[in-house]
Amino acid sequence: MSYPRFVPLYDHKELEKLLSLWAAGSLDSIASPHGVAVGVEDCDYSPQGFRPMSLLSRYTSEEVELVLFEMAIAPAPWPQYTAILIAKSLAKTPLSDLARSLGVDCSLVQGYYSQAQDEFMRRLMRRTSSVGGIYG
Amino acid sequence: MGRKRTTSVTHGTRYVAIADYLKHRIDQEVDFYNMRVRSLDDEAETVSSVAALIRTICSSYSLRFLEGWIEPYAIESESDVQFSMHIDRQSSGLWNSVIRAGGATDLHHLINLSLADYFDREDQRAILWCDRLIIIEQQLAAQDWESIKELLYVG
Repeated sequence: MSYPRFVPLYDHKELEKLLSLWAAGSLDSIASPHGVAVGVEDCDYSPQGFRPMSLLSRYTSEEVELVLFEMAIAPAPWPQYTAILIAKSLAKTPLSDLARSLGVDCSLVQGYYSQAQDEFMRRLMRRTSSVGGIYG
Repeated sequence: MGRKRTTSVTHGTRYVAIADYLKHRIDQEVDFYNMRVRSLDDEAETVSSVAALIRTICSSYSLRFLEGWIEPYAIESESDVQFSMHIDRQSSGLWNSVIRAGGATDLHHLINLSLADYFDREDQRAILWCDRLIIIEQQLAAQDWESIKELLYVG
């Protein structure tokens, strides 16, 4: 499946939290604190009005797993980058350890990791948000 | 090997004799961490960050030795590289404690031991993660989520 690449905007810390909660098996119990805004995609209520839902309340374990699987069977280098994303996010593995194991410099692995994060979010957002509808 | 033998470390700029293979690896390590920086003191440009890394590795090794985690051993090399580095008072104090406690015969021995120990451990971790990354790739493709969590998740 091909689709135009877009730059996903997200909070990197929140993505790490999303993957940690998925690994802990508690992602699906996170709900929007103020309830979903009916008829407005991916938003919830706040005292100031609508606001974007956090990644944690927006996505389910099933969606995380689907995207991880998609990336794992995508052409190289995505399977390896996905393994780096998982190792760094779940085990808090220092990027220097991963760089050494791959025989490359730290700055390169930082790049692999950032690309894996962006690709993961690109695919995840495309699954459930209107972004895919507009650009895909 | 022509090493200058001293029983204690004095602060200031000192020449240390580092086994050539360890010096080669520490140079590579500085590139690995992108640490080459312009020096603001009297050390040469590329020496500065190498010296900083050696000081850190040596002090970290010293603390682990003093906590009883390390058994010292003899270390020999075919040839040494003379290397000039600055040793501050705090480092010399800590390193002297190790020498007094029998962890090394002198400054040169201590630095070589700490570098050898550092690279041994880094190499072991690299081998571990090389295997793990391949396993994770296979588990992701097999959608074996539980095994991935078991391998990585510490919670």
